[in-house]
Amino acid sequence: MDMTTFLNTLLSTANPLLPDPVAMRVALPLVWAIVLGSGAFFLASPLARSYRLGLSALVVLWTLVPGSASPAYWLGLAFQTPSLTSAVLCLGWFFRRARPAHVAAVTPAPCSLNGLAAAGMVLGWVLLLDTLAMWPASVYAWGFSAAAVGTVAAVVMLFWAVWGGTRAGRRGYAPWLIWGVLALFVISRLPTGNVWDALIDPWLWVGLQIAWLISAVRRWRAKRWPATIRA
Amino acid sequence: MPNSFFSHSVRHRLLSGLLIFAALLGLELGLRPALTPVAQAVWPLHGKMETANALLPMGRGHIPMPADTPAAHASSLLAMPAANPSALLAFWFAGTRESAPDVQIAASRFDRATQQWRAARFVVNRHALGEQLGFYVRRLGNPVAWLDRQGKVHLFVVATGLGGWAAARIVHLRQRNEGPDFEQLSFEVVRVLPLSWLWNTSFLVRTAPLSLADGGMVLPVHFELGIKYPVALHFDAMGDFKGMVRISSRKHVLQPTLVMQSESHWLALMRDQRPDGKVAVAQTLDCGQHWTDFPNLALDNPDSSVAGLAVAPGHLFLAHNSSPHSREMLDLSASSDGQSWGLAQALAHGAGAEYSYPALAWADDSLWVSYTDHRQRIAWQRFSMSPSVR
Repeated sequence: MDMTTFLNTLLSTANPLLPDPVAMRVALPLVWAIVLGSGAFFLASPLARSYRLGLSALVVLWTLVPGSASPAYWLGLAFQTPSLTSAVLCLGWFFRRARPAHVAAVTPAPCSLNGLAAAGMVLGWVLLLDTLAMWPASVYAWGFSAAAVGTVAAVVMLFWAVWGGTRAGRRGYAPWLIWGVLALFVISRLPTGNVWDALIDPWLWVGLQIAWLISAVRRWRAKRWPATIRA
Repeated sequence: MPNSFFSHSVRHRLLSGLLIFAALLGLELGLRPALTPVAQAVWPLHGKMETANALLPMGRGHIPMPADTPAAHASSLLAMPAANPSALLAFWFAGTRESAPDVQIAASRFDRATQQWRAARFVVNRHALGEQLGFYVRRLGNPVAWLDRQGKVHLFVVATGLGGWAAARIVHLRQRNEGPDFEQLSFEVVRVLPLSWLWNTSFLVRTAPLSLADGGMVLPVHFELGIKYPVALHFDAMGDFKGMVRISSRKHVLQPTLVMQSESHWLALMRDQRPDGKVAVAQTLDCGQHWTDFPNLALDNPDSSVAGLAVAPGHLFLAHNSSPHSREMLDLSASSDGQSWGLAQALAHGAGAEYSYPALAWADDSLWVSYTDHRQRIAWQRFSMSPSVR
């Protein structure tokens, strides 16, 4: 492959690689099962661990039921398939919270995902405004190019090289999360063949902003009324 | 120097990161299909047309409806190859009313032997579509058909999600069975076309694709959640999606119809949703890779769909509602340059009537028009231009 062909292939949005239709149909209930199963585990937090696990398993099985009995059949109507990032985050969160206590005690806590969350919020806004044709060029269409995958991988690499690593015994999971999502996307092309759909979905974007808002209010209250005054 | 920018740990992470980056990009590029050259459009009429003669009416009527379906809308015509027993296939949506739960995609064929439209049958219903997609489909509409290089019919239909037409998606279907037997015609889902990040909502299809010399096509679609803007989708000869390009920067134009001026110079003529709108125009000079807005045509557009077809160089046709505020008049205009249009044929006029959503096709040396008649039936007309075709 000469340099011109390489650059054309890299930058072109005219040779998208879309997921296999069968894989798309399998992924829809599977990804919703991961998201809803984790959600059930979260909502059932007052219950004992075994009950929470049982409830999650039931929700996962219910979601995987073929046809209109599955909640995925109805959620897909409105929201299609969640992003791979949502699936990986939910899966990671679930395994972290569902571990027995003696395993949790010896595993270092992950670093905060604040930087990643901020990047996700910005990306979501860019894509939302792009949907409403606010940009001169289509950002969504660019997500079909190999260059978009390369750019995301390169940005993550640079951030990880400069600011990454283990700090105070806490692992930096964020780069590995995105690289993992990119690797899954490159292999499977799920959920749509567009890298932006793999990285972030509108619900994840809304969730990030709510989480950021709650965190900002907490910080503001802590700053305005320090613990000693509140006490 | 632990605080140095290029400390050992930074170098180590940079090297590891570079390896991961290279692996991801290498895999991404390696798995991608080869880039195909940009293809030019092809004229439907391969012969040379010497004069801009008048259209000669050859026939008109209504396409048979499926039983017990009082409503019909949004027809699409597909010219079939010479060896096929059908000259044309017509697709439209039909049911008790527009957006009713029982609306399905109906089809009929114009039989070459008998020169008649044959009985219509339903070819797509939303329940079967939902089963194949794995999620519920609320409503169906706006079928648009295309024939791939293997002779398989592809159908693009609008399937609504949570909400009305503004929450619609475009579903791509492909003929399941082989062969030209219309009675066996059935479709399997290829995919929902990935067109927007916002749950992939609010893209609709309405008008016919423009055929390309490599066997592929360009399918005009539009976005309509709040604002309206047109987009061109590119497909290869097998019907594989090859990307999307925005046609216009305007936020009030929709349902583009693509008309050739030359093999690489195309116009997109569009419906204008504003009051007192005119037919809007954008053009491309590089086979749809880049588009620029153009001044509106002088033709009125009462927020109504138009259908264009260039059958040969200098012979452009546009079916459109010609009164500024209603769909009571449907006309066929002709142009040699895409800018100046004159009346070629009055298609249907009637006080209080609605004649709308036209479709054009070239088949068997004739120009065919279909359109919605009172939202109840699909009417058709056929015009000959053969006396001057060489």
